[in-house]
Amino acid sequence: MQVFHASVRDNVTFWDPAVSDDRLLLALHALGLGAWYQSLQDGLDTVIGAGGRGLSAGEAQLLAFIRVFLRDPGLVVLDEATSRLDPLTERVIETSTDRLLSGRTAVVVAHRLRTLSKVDKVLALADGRAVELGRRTELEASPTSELSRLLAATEMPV
Amino acid sequence: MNSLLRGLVLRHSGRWLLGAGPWSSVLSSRLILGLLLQAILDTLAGRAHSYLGVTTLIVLVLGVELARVGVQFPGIIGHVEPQLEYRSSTLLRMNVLRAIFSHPGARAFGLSQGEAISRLGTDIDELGNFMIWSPTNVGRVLLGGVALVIMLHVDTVVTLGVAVPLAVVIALSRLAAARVVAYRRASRQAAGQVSGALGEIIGAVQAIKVAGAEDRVTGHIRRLGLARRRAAVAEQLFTSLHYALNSGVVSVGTGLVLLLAASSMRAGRFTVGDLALFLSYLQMLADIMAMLGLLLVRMRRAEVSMERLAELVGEPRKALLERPAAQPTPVPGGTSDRFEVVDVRGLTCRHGGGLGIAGVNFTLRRGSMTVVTGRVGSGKTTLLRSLLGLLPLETGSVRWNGVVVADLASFMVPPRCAYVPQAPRLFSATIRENILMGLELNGDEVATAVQRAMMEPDLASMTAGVNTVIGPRGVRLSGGQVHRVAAARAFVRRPDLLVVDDLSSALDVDTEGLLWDRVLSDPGLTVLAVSHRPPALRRADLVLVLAHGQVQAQGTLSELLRCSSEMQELWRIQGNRH
Repeated sequence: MQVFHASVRDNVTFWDPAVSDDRLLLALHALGLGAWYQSLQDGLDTVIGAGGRGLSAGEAQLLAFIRVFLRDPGLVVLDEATSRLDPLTERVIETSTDRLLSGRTAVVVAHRLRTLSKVDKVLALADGRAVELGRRTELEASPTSELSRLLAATEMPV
Repeated sequence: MNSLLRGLVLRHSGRWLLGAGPWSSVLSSRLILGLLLQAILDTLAGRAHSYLGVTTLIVLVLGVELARVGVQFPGIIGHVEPQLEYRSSTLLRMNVLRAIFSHPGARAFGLSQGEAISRLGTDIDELGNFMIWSPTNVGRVLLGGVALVIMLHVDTVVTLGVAVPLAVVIALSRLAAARVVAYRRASRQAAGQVSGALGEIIGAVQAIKVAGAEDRVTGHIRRLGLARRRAAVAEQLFTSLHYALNSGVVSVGTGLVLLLAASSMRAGRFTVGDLALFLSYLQMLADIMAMLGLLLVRMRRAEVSMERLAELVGEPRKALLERPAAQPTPVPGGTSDRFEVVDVRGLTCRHGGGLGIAGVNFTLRRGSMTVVTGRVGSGKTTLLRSLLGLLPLETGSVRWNGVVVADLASFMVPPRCAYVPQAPRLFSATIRENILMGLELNGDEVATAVQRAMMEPDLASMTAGVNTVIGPRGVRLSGGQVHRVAAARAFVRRPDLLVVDDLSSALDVDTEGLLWDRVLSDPGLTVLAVSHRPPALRRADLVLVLAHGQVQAQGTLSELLRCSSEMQELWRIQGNRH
């Protein structure tokens, strides 16, 4: 996630003047960033990045979500998009992710297995090769599948 | 001249005078030539009797010229000037870098990196130029004064004609001074914004391409470039106008002098030799007067550059001019004192926006593992950074084996302490160089660090192994690999205290537990880690639950799961999946 030494607005719109503040605020609130937005000294004009207001890695990731939100794409590729968030923030993101992914095609790269709970199909990779591809429900049901092995290895309390 | 710029000249006063001295002698050769010319012409015209014959005078002319070339080229241009330029700019660069390194690490810059680099580059170059340009021209001005005295001696009225343009040039430069500074600041600032934005954009190519924002970003750069162009053209136009005005005034002045000389000649008070002398000096004086205006402009510009460097240095500004220490200051204390315990009391560090930590207490004992957990923005990273001296403490103390640490930033470093940050920075070099970062260790020690950091599978897939070049800032590596290289970098330093910010997030479930087992297999190693994941939390001897910058609860995981609602909440969400 790359943050520019620029205003919050320019960071998420990439200097596109056509994106209205109303649209930006809608995206911010949809992502549960209302409280964070309130904490910004100059609102959307707050300068972040090098020399400006520092962002935690979690906040930076949330910012990346707004960028995607604003683009309104047909295909979304999420690469470990939730890897640096604590569980509570992740839950906020999950709600927004659901909204973002509905009606769209998504490819999610995940090493965190609970990100998998929403997907239809799973492709397992090992050493750069596809070792398994199938519907998640079927793979979970099969005790010999790679997915089952990974799930079993997860240290999760009941 | 402001105090910083004066300080820079004084710091190099010896070489500066050495620069001004020979230049004066070079220029004084022009004074002598004028006098010789006067004597030759007057002798030929029969108006004067020289003790030396015309031939001897011509030979003297040749001798003076040869001496000038001999001093000017090998002496000044070959030795004095390069020394003056590079010594002064090196002093500035070293002092700026030292000041940056002495700031709290997480707040080293108040500027974008591109802007800082632009100041370290262009502004210091401007000052280096000023250092060689100024003695030359101060020397010239002095000799101009001598020329005026000689001319006054020959003919008072005609010489007074020279004073008129001189006064006008000085007045013009005084009027221009404030605008020179304003234009300089504006153009340097606009240039800094372009280089700053370019630097960031090159680092963010992937984000820009993914967002399909190439056109918008190019447009942004174009707008910044236009602003830079406008500022640069305005500055250049003003400088050229100023110079042209000066030259015009000087030319009119020369005409005036010639008219005055013509009337004097008719009266018979002015010889052909006098005319030759005046013409040769007038040319010199015209140059000097035009240069005088430029000298003042460049002095103002150099002052702006010094100010911009002082902003990088912060307080005290005088640090910009300090003489470099012969030896780098050694890390205080020794390693003979075996690490036993770190006591943290009342640690408080708040950001501008109200985030941060307040009144945090904890104790780290030799061989223990402590995990800090909490929600986003609860102050986990701030806690680690303030303990390491990367952020300035408001209040609080850190005791190492019972002794208060005075300067955390210089104390909490290897081999006492090593840090794996949340977003590690790698250099455009090989993996091995990134791990060692200048340490001289053998291959076994690198291999051990690599093995502990779970990097062996990564290296096996790379043909060059640890000697693989990882591209600019490590772009060829995955996020997890970057983290593992950073972990190996910390392990290879064999610290007493290992501080890790959320390393686990870059590892899959199979690998994470194994990494902690390998790290903890060293019984003397003490670990302080930020994590919210089970493999770390389960292995912790002590878990600190942070909320709103304060330790809300502490204990082992099982204790906290019984009595801390915040921990239960964090754990429930983590555990309730699957």
